[in-house]
Amino acid sequence: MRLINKITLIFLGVSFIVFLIGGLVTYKVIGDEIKKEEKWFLLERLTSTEKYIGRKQPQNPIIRDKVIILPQKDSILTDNYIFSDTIVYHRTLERPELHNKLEVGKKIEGRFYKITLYDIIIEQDDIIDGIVESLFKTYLILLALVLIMGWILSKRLLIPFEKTLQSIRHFDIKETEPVEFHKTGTKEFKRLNQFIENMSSKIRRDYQSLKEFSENASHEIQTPLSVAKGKLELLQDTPLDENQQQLVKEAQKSITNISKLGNMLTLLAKIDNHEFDTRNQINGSEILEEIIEDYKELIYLKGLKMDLDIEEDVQVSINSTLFEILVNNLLKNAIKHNVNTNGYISVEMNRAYLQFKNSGILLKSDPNLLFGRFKKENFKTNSLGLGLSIIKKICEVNNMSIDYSCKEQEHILTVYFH
Amino acid sequence: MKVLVVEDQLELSKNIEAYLKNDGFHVSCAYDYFTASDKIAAFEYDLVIIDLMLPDGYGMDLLYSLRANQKNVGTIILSAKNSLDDKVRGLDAGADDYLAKPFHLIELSSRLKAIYRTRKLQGENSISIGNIKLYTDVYEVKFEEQKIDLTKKEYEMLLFFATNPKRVLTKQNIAEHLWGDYIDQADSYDFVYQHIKNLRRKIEKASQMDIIETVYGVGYKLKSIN
Repeated sequence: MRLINKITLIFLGVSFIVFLIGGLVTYKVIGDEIKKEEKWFLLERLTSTEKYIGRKQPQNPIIRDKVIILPQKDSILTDNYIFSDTIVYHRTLERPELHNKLEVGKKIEGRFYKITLYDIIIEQDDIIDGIVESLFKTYLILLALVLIMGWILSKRLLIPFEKTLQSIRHFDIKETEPVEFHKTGTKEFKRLNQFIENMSSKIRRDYQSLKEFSENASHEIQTPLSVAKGKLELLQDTPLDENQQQLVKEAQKSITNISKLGNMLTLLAKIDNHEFDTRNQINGSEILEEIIEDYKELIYLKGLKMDLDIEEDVQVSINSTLFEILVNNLLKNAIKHNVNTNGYISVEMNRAYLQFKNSGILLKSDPNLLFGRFKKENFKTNSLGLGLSIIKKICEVNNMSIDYSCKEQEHILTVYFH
Repeated sequence: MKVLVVEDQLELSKNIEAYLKNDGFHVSCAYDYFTASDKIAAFEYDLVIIDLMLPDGYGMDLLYSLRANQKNVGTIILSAKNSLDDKVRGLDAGADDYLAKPFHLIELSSRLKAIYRTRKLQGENSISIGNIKLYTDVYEVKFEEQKIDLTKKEYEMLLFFATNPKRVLTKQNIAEHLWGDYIDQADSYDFVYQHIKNLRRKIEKASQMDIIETVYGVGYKLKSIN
C-alpha cells in the first residue's frame, strides 16, 4: 500500500471517530439548548394560561391539547415548577412523542389550580437526523478533499523520493560517476539523498579497492611463485632419493595450481573490468573448428567419440579472445568430466546456439550450482572449480544465456547467442 | 653459449643463473634496463632473456634496440601478465619466444637451446643419444643410418630428453612442454604415459635398447649411455 494511501486512511479513520464524538457533542448541546428554549416557552404559555384562568375562573377541570387545568378544593403547594419529560400522543404526527412537561400549582384569584403544560418544539429524531445528515455531508466533502489533496501532494511532494528510487535502481557498482540526485527542499529527502550518496560512494570505493586488491594479488603472486618453482627445480637437479623427488614433485604441483588459480581469478577480474569490451563479428565456426583440432589428439587418447555438427560461417558478435576462452573451457570440461569407456562428445553450432553434449557421471547436485566460483561436483584436486564461472561470466558480459542440464549420463551445456 | 638474464627479481634471476650454469651456459645478469642495455652494447651474447617489466624501463625497448643493431641474438621474453597482447607484441618486436611466469626452468632452458639451434647453427645440428641421432633441421631420428619413424609429439619428447640428459623429467614437465597449457595435469599424465610407451617401443624395436628409465612416482629420465 502506498504511503499516501496509508496516511489518508489513517486520517479518515481518525476524523471518522472525531465526527462521531462531535455528533454526540452537537446532539447534546443542541438538545440542551432546545430544552432551555422549551422551558422558556412553557413558562410563557403558563403566563397566558394564568391570565386565561384569571379571566374565566373555571370551576371544572379543563383538559385540552397540551393544557390541563385542574381546579383544587384544598390549598396546594404553589409556585413549585416541576419540569419533566413525558410521552404524549402527538395529534398531527399521529404517534407518541417525547414532550416537555411543566407541572405547577398556582393560586389565582383566591383559588388553587394545578396546571400541567406540555409541548414540543423539535422532535428528538429530527435533531438526530439533522446532525447525522450534516455531519455525513461534511465528512463526504472532507473525504473528497483529502483524496484529491493526497493525490496531488503525493505527485508533487514525493517527486524527489521517486527520483531517488530511480537513481538507486540504476546504480551500478562498477561505474565511477557519482549518483545523480534530484534537488529537493524537503529535509527528510535531503537527508535520504545525502545518506545514499555517501553510502554508494563508499560501496564503490570498497568495491574498487577490493577489485584492485584481488587483481594485484593474483598478479603479484606469480613472481614469488616463479621463484619458488625455480628453487624446487634447482633442488631437483641435485642428487635426491626417490622419496625426496616425490616431495618436490608434489610441491611443484601445488605451486602450479596456485599459479593457475591466480591466472583464472585475474581473467575473471579482467572480464569484470570490461577489458574485453571490444567486440567484433567473428567467424565462430572457424574458431571452434580450430580449437577442436587442437584437442583432437587428447580426445583420441582418451578414447572419446567425437560428433560434430557445425554450421558454416556462423557469425558471433563477441571479443575473439573471450570466445576462444569460452570454447576452450567448454571443450576442456567436456573432455575432463567424461567417462572412461564408450565416452562421447557431440558439438553442435548454428546461428542460434552452441551446444556441447557429453557423456559423464550423473550429477548429485543441481547443475546450475556449478556456475558458482569454487563449486565442484567431486573434489578432484586438479579441478579448480572456476571453469564454469568463467564460462558464465563471459556469457553474462556478452548478453548470451547459458543452460546446463544433466539427464542420466548425459551433460548438455548450451550457449544461446542472442 | 653466452646468456644475459635481464630480470629485476633478484631471486628469480639467481634461480635462472644457477639452473642455466648447471646446463653449461655462461650466464651474466642485469637487474635493470640501464645495466642491460650497457651490457648488450659492450658484449656479444648468444641469447638474451628479457623480463618485460623492469624498474627503469620497458623490456620491449631492449628488443627494439637489439633488432635495430642487427645483432644476431636469440631472445626470449618473460612476462608476469600472461596476456595475449604482450605475447603478440613481443613476438612482433622480434622475440624468438615467450614464457609466462611462473615457468619451469627446464622449459626455459629447453627453449633457449631450441632458439640457439635454429639461430646460431641455422638448424644444421644433430643431437646424439648414444648411437641415436636427432637431426633437428629435418625433424628426423636415425639409429646407425636407419630411420626411426616417430610422430611429431614423440619426436618432441625425445628431443626434450636429449636436451636434458641427466635430468629427471616429471610428467608435468613433459606435458607442459608438449601441450602447453592446453590440458589439465591429471588428464595429461595418461597421455604422457602413452607417448612414452610408444616412444620406448619404437626405439627399442630399432635399436634393441631401452633408453628411457622410469623414476618411480616422479617421472622419467634418459638412461646414461656411454
